[in-house]
Amino acid sequence: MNVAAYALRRLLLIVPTLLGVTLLTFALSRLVPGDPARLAAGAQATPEMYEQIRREFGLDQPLPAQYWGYLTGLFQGDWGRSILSRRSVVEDLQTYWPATLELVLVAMAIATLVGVPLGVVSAVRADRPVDQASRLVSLVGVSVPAFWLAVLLQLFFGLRLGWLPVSGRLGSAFAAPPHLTGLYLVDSAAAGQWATFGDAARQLVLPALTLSFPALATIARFTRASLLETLGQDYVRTARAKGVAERRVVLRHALRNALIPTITMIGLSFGWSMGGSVLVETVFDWPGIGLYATKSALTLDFSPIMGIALLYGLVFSLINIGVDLTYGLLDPRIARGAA
Amino acid sequence: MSRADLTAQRMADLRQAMRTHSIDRRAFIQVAGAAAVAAGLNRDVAAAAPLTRRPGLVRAQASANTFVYGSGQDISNLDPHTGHDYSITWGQRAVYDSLLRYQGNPPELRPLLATEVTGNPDATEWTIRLDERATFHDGAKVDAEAVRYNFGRMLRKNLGVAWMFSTIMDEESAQVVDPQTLRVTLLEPFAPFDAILPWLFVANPALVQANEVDGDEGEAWLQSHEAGGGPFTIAAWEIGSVYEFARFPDYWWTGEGEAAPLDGFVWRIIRESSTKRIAMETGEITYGDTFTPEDIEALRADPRFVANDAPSLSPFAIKLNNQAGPTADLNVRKALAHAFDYEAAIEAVSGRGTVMEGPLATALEPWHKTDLPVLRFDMDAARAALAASDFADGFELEYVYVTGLTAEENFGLIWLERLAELGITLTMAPLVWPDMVARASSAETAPNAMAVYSGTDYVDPDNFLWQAYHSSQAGFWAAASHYQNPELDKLLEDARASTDEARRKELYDAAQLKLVEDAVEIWVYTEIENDAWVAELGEPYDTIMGGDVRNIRFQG
Repeated sequence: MNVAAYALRRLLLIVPTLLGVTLLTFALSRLVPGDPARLAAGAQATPEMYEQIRREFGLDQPLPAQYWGYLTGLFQGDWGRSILSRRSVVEDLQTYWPATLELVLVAMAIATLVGVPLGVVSAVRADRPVDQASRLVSLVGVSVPAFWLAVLLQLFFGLRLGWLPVSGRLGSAFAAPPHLTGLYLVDSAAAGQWATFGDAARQLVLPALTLSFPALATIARFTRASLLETLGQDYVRTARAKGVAERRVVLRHALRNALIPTITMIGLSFGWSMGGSVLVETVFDWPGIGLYATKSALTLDFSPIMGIALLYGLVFSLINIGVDLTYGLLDPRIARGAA
Repeated sequence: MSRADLTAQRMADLRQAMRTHSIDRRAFIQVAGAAAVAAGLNRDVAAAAPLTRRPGLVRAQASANTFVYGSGQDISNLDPHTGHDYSITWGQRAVYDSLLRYQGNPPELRPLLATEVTGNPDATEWTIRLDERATFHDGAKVDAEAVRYNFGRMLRKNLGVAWMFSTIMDEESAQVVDPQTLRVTLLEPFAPFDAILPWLFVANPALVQANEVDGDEGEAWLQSHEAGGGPFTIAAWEIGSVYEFARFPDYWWTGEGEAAPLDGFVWRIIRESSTKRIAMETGEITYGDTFTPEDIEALRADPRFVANDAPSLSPFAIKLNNQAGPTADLNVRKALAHAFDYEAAIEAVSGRGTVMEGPLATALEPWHKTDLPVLRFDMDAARAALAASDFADGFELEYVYVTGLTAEENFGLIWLERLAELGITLTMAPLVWPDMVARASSAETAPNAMAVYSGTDYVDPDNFLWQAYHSSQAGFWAAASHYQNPELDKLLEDARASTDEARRKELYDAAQLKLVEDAVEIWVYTEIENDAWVAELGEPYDTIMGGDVRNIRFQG
């Protein structure tokens, strides 16, 4: 089996995984106490209004019929409607998901581009002051609550220095760029709207920094630990004995092998960052899916909850496949094993 | 080729690639590089390129006459007949006209589309005269047929505010007398009919029908578009982020007061109180709501801002289950009411409240009865009442409140200490709101005590008393006390059936007295909203679900 066939097999396995996700979220959402129809109808709703909402959203049907209706809808591209806003879930996800994706992508880029070099420097200079400083950053990164860091950054860079905006996805003078991907950086660049691009980038700085900090710290710690272990391997000693330059030993011989656990951690951090974006989105008023998820969960809005779970399940599955395929790129033995 | 030219070339390539769906890895890397270069060049490029602005963008005009509201709540649905909450109402009032409107605090009914609304003595037949000047944004007249259509659509949708109308009207109730006159024949008497007319937002029937899909009467389209004739039109609509409204230059209504009307109205979603406060201080917003007590006090101390001190009409009460458990015993309810420290509760909300003296807010003049024998904090009286009950040896009491709502939690803690002195063990049970609604749906599952904030939809005692205490309302959270009293039902029904204000006052006085004598629940306080605004704004706050942007002016 070649890599393409392996990837295809993994992609096909996503289907039963997602079916499992739908079944689980459907069951859980129906098991929790509370009646979304009564909530949506409002305090003073007449019994007729309440019954009408139950009928409209199929809540008067037996549970198997509700689940079957949901599944058949999914395959026709209908992910249901929010019982509260009455908007289509697919449209809502199209609205909110790009904002979260952009935030998480930028945060993960920061975490990776800073975390990996930090871990490398820390391992190469183990137990020296730079390592101590790096470990302190890592410790703080995993310990500091996101909302606290967010407010601190807002107060300092937003209010005290006035350098960066404290909320929203675009400043007040800018329009959303023409929709292409929903990622404002990409869309504004594609449209040649450089002022909008600059503003979108400025708006991203504080939330992305906040979100990246725990991932950065974890990636740095994993890189350090893994590289330290690799640097003690026989083949590294051999390379050094052969007179290979230290820089080449570290970056070409040791780091490539040491990156496998780091890649796993980057993949996991991506998932954690999506979950962790809820707090960051709240503090920075980032119109992403985290807030949508929280609001839907608190109001027992079933269709959005299941839609979000399905989307997250899909993204996690794809990340896992991506991580597994990356192993093969880093270590050809793994690719051969898969084949 | 200069660096800027190179960047422009790269981006042109990207646009072409995206159009043809042919981005390869090399192209992607080039684009990423171009983006990085662009970021570095941002200042230069920004200076050279025209700013990207929304069409008709109101914020960008940096006008001192633009009202920017920072709120944690989304405008999730702008449909005039299916959406109904605090934030939606702000949006609806901006783009739609209603028959009547509220203004001031205490709120008064004023004409808008209707110049005159008159009812017959038994409150069953109402005549509505329309303003001949009224038009929709496309210039079409707002006539009686358009209003009749809107009554019908609201009833057919049977969502949002329909609960106010659907028990007293059907689709045949509103009939056109002439192009400027409507006659509404109610199914049963309803004296405060004029008080609910500010909730009928009138949409342009032609535009609604033009956007109908699969018989939805334009519902999908109207969620984020408008078909109104109000003072504003939509300038930008970014779901979950910002909603912008630009002044409609040919608005027919001339308004009141001397200051110029607003140029624009912006609704910005800002959820965190601290972020809202920073946004106020940096001038990004001119009005913010739901601040924490610390933030509102900080804004109050700043002369640039005004903190809202106006009492609202909305009560907070602890609903006691009158049908099941120990709270079904009148003496137990009296003991519980006497054991609640009302002044401590006000302190717990940083003084931002007024102790209630009965079931209606004291600010609801002239309806609030002033000499009610309300049960005040008095531990001796509490002991005496408990001794007279069937639960003199104490019992366990469940207090249910909204998870994470600090004020409600603090009220419970204050109460817990006093109840312990009586031998009553208070169990604090935080629940999410949907679970509380479910618990309240029957007397068997309703908790002994449940914390509830109620809203104000129309300025009439009927708004508060019917929904909470009429037998027909049992099962809804506002009626979580499950109070059943035919005598009270009769009083409330008779009050609905008379347009004689003096007679209604007598009936509502009797109803309030009955409720207090039965110690139906613990009426704690009416809120002072945690709103603040820039000092230049004149009276932006309105007790009826927020405010009406028509009434807002910048002074000076």
